[in-house]
This record gives sequence, structure tokens and C-alpha cells, in this order.
Amino acid sequence: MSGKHDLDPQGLARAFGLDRLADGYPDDIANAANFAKSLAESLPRDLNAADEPAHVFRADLKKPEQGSAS
Amino acid sequence: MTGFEQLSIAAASKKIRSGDISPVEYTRALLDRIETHDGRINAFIRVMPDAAMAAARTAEAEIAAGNWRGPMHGVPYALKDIIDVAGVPTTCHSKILADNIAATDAEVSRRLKDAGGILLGKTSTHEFAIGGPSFDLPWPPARNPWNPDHFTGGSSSGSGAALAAGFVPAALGTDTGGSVRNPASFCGITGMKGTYGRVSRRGVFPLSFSLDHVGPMTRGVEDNAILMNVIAGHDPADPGSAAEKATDFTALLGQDITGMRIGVIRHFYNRDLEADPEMAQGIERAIDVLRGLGADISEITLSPLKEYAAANRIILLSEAFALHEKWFRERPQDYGELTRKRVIGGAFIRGADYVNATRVKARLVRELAEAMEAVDVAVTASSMDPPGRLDDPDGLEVNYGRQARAPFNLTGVPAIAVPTGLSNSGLPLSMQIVGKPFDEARVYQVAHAYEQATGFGAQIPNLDGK
Repeated sequence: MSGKHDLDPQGLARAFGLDRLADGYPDDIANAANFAKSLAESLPRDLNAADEPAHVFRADLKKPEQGSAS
Repeated sequence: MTGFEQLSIAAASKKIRSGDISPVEYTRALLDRIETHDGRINAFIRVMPDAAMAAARTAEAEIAAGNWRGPMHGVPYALKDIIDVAGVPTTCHSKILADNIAATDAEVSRRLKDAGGILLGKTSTHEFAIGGPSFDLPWPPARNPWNPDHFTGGSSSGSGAALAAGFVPAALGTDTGGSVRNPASFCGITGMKGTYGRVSRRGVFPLSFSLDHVGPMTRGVEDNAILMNVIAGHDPADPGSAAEKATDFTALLGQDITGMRIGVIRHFYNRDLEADPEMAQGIERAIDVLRGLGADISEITLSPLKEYAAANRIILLSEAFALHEKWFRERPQDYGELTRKRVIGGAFIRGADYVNATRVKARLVRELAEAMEAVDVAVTASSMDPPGRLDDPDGLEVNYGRQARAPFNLTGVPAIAVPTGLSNSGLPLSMQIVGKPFDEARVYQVAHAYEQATGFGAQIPNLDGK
């Protein structure tokens, strides 16, 4: 794997509904896609099935209060 | 110079309580200083002189009547402009939210109000706590009071600048990948990110739910612990808030650190990344000071810094993009260039990579906890470089990732950035002291002992001569 995204980032952005980004900022889209791929490649590869995610599930969660811009 | 700009919270509080200084006089002096100097520093997006003076008069009357509320009563402070204050805009330094008026107080705002603090205003930030320093936003970026041509660090840039400039003795910032500790490091002040869940995030605009922390920023360590005493505590309305008992974060200040076991995470700054020589030498001198105070110094080896950084960044960008996707679809042109470039990476992170990043997070939390069993606190770098020039965006971009703060957002443990002196060019140097979960008082103890031995926490630049 290399640091370059295998798929067409513009096409992916459009598929995600980000047409305005794809049209207006094609270089940013390409760089962002490549950066995301390089980040994923920096993760260790030796995870095993016992390595569970860091999520904590609580069955008693109440609805959170909202801030001004939520 | 009136002397008010140098006052610590601790000193001001004593003088206010005894009647030696008036909250009204103190607030007026700091507002005048902001008026005189902030045109060059840009620490504030919004100064609130009328509300501040009204609050100061109220505080003065309450204290005179014998109703002293505690060490923040009558003491001015500032809030990063992603923290809600009822009736006041929370802009996140962005055109997107330029007209966003907060309906209610954030929990930390409520606590500071209840403590009798005097809010002077809202401070500048990187856009949405990620995009900066930028010149294409509705407000200019903050400038470093030690040298206004240089970067303050971010994203809590205005809070750091306001403290270094002597505009306030207390401010709040937020920290997702180091955004309290970076401006603390670059502005020569003290910034603490407590344990994840220690301080409520309710009413603070999120960047990444899993990694966001609100933290106290002050010039010195004692003040930082005092401010943490005010803002920390369980908030049932914040899903991430920890149900921990209240702690007096000042309890261990002044206690001897003889025999304290301190681990040095040296490979973060001499192998995984190579720190600027002056920064590295500052940390090594600090380690010598701690050894001289009786600490037992050893070395800690963890996974490479890039593994911590990658997991942190994948989680951060994925969650940030989830928050911003709607606006990126509808009005991408209203973001600054740096925010756009940084956040849209989150659109291209696969679900599997996000999950794997959280699996790596769990593993690294265990790794750090096991390494910390042999020590009481750890020491490592904060920034690898002194603050760069604001007119060198390429250099700033290179330095953006050259830091060792993200590991402690990922693992959620407390970490404080404290000054280790000045570089040959007069710019602040720093280090981090890292603790075990909910052991902030120990971190403060060590940081305070170091500060008292060196005097670095009390320095502020002379703005009048520049």
C-alpha cells in the first residue's frame, strides 16, 4: 500500500454528496483522501480478535442536553 | 504597567478578600490593558466591558457584605469562543456560526459564574478548534505576546495569548489533540488537560466526542489547580462525565517530591521525532532539576509516537467530519482553508479504520497504564519546536504534527504543559508532566515543585516596550 488513494477522490466525494467540495476544491479533496489513507496505514497491523474497540456502552444513558449550535 | 497584569489568582484572591484591592479596580485595570494592547495581540474576539464591570460591582458588594464565595470571587477570566455563555455569541471563530447566540451557559461557564468570577470576554481560537492560524476568517489569529510575529499555538490560541499578555489571570481552553497544552507551551504559561470526563463538556462546541477535554489555563501551577477546583466535577448531563468524587487539586502543592518516581518518555522526542535542540535541552535540564529535588528518575518505553498520533487523528477526523458534514455539503465556502483541508480528511476514513483506531486506543490505554505502574508521573515533550513565525505557513504546517500531546488525549490521562524557560531568541520552551487517571493532584504537585525551583511560571513579556 502507498500513501495515494486507489479510488478517484472526486468521484468518492460526489458519491458522499459533497459535490460542492468536489467542484470547488479538487486539490483539497485529493490531498485529504491521500492523508486519510496514510493515517490508516500508520495503525499497527497486529490487532487480534480480542482487541475490542474502546467504546463504553451504558444502557442507562439519558438524552443529553444540547448546546447552542447543536 | 499597573501591577494587576502580574497578579496570580491566589494573590489577587487574598487581596480581594482582605479588601486590599477592589474587583472593580482590578477589572477596570485589565480592561484598560486589553484596550491598550489587544489591537496587536488579537487574543479576544469579543470583550464584554459593561457586563464585566457590572459583575465586578456585584462581586465587590457581596464580598464587602461578608459573602465571599471562594478564590475566583471577583477575579477576571476569559473563555475560548467555543464555550457557551447565555445570551452571548459562540462563534467558534467561524463565519458558519457568526450569529450563533448561546441560549444557556455551558456547565463550566455556570460554575465560574457561581464562583463569582468576572468574565472579560471570549477569546480567539482556531476555527472550530482545528483550523488555524488563519487569516481568511472573520477575526484575525492571535499573536504571541513574547513576539507578535510568532504563532501562539492552538487551538486555544487567544486564551494562551491573553494569559501571557497579562490580560487575565485565568482562562479556559479545550484540548482534543493538544489544544490547551500547545498554546500553553508556545505562550510560556501553564495548561492542564485533566482526565477524560473530569470536566464537563456540556455547552462546549465539540470537535471529537471521544477526545475532547476542557482545561484550565493560567500563568502558574497553583492557579491552575485553583481553577480546576472550580470547573471539575460530575455533570450527569454530559454523557462522558466521570462520576468521580470532588478532589482538592491544591492538596499536594508544596509537598516534598523526594522519592517521587518519575518516568521519562524520551523516545517520543529523541527517536520517534527529533526535538529542536533547545527544546530537548530544556527538558533534560528540567529532569535534572526534578532529580535534584529528590525524584527517582527512570525511563519509560511505549509504542512509537506515530501509532498514538494516527489513532488519535483517525478518531478525531472521523468524529469531526460527522459533526461538520452537513455544513460541508451546503456551504463549504464559508470555512477557512485550513479547517476545510484538515476536516475533510474525515470523509475518506473507512469505517473499518475508525473501528481499528478505537481498538488501538484500547490497547494503548492498557500499555500506558502498565508502564505507569512503575512510576508516579511521567515527563516528556509537549511541542518539538519553539513557536514558528506566523508569516511562514509552510513551516507552521510542518510543525503542526511535531508534538507529543495527542497520546494523552487518546488515553485520557491528565497531562500538564509547563514552561521550561526561554530559547536564545526569547521564545517559550516547555515540557509535559503526565499522570495516572484521576491523579491530577500528583501532577500538580510535581509541576509546582519544578516551578518553585525554577521560577518559570511567573514570567510575562513586557508589552509596553514592543
